[in-house]
Amino acid sequence: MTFLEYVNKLLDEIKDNKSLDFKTADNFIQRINELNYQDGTKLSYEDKVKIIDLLKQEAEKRNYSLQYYINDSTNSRSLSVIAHMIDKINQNSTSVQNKNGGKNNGTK
Amino acid sequence: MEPNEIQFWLEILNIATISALSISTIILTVLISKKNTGFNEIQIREIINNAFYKINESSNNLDQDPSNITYQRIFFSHVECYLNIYDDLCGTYLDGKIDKKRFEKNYKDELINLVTDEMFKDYYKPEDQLKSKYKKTLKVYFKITDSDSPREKLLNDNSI
Repeated sequence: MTFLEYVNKLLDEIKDNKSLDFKTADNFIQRINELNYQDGTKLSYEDKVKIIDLLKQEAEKRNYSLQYYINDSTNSRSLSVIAHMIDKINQNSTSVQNKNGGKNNGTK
Repeated sequence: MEPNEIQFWLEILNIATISALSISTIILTVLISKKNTGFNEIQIREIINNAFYKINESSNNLDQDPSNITYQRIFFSHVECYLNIYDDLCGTYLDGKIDKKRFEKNYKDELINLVTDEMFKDYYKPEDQLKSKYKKTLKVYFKITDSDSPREKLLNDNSI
């Protein structure tokens, strides 16, 4: 399956809501983190980001909302779900690097 | 009037002057400290708002170009800066350098929202306090929510 096909498969799961909330985004990230290449090795940080980039482009084509409203008294402060997803991938690669005793080079 | 009597009234006047000065100094100090507290609160609010504005800005940039490594780094750094501000603020609360009642009034809901928010909760990991980078924030969070931290819970369980 190509990245584009995978991304469209994910977006099909939210076609009723037409928006990507944080819980669903976290679920997508969890699944993206578990993806492997055909040789069985884990996806690189760069390729995970590529998938999110594609997800954003395809979501825009479908006019899906990708904004998240911060939980405060006004509910007027919003952030991009895409930025959150990249942040999560970075955190994950950081913790994997730390567990392996290496330094964080997730974004390098 | 006898010289002793003059001396007596001069001393009374002296004491009254000193007392009046002391009282006005105390009132002024209180007023200044109140003024400063208000000023500090405005400053703190401004710092928090600016930090959030930065996150918002860098999140929008990253949204436009998710693969851009510079945008990614700026965004991560702004998130960390935002959370550090709250952690420092909680540090001043724990050290007693800030009016505790006003702090709780002003920031209680905000801190609860911050720690439990979907966006930031992975940074705090309330269920695993020791692993969090923001221990001061979590300590205050457990204090103001009157809940036991996982560590305290463990200690309480062991004592039973």
